[in-house]
Amino acid sequence: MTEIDLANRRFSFRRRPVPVPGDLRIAWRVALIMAMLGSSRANRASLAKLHIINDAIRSGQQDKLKTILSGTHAAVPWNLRVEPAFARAVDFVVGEKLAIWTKATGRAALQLTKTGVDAAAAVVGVEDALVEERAAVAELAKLITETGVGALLGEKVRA
Amino acid sequence: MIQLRHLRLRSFTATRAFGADIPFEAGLNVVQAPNTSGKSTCLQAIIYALGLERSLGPQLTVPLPYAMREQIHQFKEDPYDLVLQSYVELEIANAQGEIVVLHRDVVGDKSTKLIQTWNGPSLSSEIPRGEQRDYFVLDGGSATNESGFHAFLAQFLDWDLPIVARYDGTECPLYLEAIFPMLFVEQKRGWSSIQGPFPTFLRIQDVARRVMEFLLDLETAKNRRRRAELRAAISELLGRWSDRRKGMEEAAARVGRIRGLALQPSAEFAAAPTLDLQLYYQGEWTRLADVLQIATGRVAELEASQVETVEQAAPDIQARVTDLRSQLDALSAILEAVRGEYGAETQDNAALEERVAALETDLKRNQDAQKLQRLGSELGRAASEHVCPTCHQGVSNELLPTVDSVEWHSMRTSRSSNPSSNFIAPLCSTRASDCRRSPRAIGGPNGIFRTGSSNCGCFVRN
Repeated sequence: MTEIDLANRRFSFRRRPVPVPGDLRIAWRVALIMAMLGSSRANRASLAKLHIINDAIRSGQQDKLKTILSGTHAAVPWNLRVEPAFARAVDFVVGEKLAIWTKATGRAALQLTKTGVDAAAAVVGVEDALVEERAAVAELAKLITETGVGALLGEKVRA
Repeated sequence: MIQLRHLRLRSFTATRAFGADIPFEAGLNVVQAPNTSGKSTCLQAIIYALGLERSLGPQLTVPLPYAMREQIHQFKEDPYDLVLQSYVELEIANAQGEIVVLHRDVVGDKSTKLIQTWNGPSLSSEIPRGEQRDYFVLDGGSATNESGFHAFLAQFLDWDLPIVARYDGTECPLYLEAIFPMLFVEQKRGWSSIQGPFPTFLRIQDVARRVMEFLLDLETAKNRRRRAELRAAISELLGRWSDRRKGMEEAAARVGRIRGLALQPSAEFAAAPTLDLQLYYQGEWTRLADVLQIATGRVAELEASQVETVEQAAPDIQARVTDLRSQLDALSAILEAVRGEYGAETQDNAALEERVAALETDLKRNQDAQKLQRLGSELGRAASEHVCPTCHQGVSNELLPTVDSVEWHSMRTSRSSNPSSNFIAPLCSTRASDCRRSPRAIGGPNGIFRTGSSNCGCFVRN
């Protein structure tokens, strides 16, 4: 079909659905954050810790992170990537009052509210979704302490 | 065997010399005397002269009564005189008839750890003493050192002292002090037990049994040693066998294989060794002799036949070479092409597989997101109803909505006063430009081209 053919024809536009990556969907990411906070100690985690777990799950490097945390390979480097979409999802979580801003070990941290705790329980209740992610989150959230976050970020240990 | 020939005790005070001389004969000797006249002193003097007082106990005190050590008097009524010097001498013989005289001081200038010896029967027959040789006792090494008296005594008696285990895991010779309680019985507290107590301070395991075995010359110790020797010999032979076997197998592997060599040497092999070297010949394993026979036959055959000359064969062979060379070139070219194609296909395949994996992950996540919709407003209205929790306007279903160029253009015109807008504009567009509240975005010249994916632009974290 040539351009002249096109010029002489009637044509119309129709809206097509735009494909959205699954991990950029709000429900998916908010549920993941709920799982992270719900698995953390006292339903609270620093923003840095959330970023680390998020990065590990998105890049599929849970095993590498676990190796680093186990302490057997001290010299394995960990390059943290900060994802804008994640920051936005955190904004939504706070906006929905599922969690509130607080402080943990001198860092900005999120603390689940009552609604948030219910939401986290509800996420765990959906058994057939986020199976691998929830398992990974549950393990990593327990392994990473706030001191460990400092070590991963390359902070100098205070004497 | 040890034979005592003569015992001499001397104890000198300032005024006179006391002492006793007891000659012994071969066989049983009985010493008879009233109480407290020195029978026990004589017996203990023998022990002392042999340096064996530690077989009575671990103390290092002289086991002689005070008459030999401190003070002495001739009759009960007399006052005691101080002993200035005293010594014990003993003449002994061994099974070969060699005679030696031992001298050990009790009180005097010399150390009590010193035992002097002279060869010859100078004590019993009063002949001049021969060459003197000094030994030590009670110090470490007296049983093993060349100058140790017990080493000398064991050698003199022709005793080959067995090596025995100690409680701490080390080994030591069976000390003479451990053996002599079996040979010396001092009756002081009745005859309920004849054998004296064995010294335990030497820390030898099972000392009573070891001494019995040695004195009675029982076979067990020898058997034990012999068994250990045999075991060592067997293991050495096994090692040699396995070395040789490995060497032979390696050598055989260069031409074929070897059969009939067991992992362990056996009696059957010793009686009738069946070694067989086999070669892989025309698709099957054949014995070397058979191969040799076939090869010899072939050689004879070839020698008998006439060989084609070079002139006759050359044209044919050259034609074949040319033909084959051109075939080879064609095949090489094809190979290159195929190889390149294969590489490209492999790369494509890998890329596709990667893409499929990514798509599968994405599908899984999308399905998960769909399932999570079941939670309804549990995860908030942004997730379920696409409404911003702060400004209550619509948000797209996507965390980072893609922005088309038209929208980006409208933003640039609206914020062109800011010189840094070129840099931050893409970020802004994801947030502010989607907001329905922005009248420019809606009413701007290009507003009609918006695809309608509206999104709130408020900074939720405010």
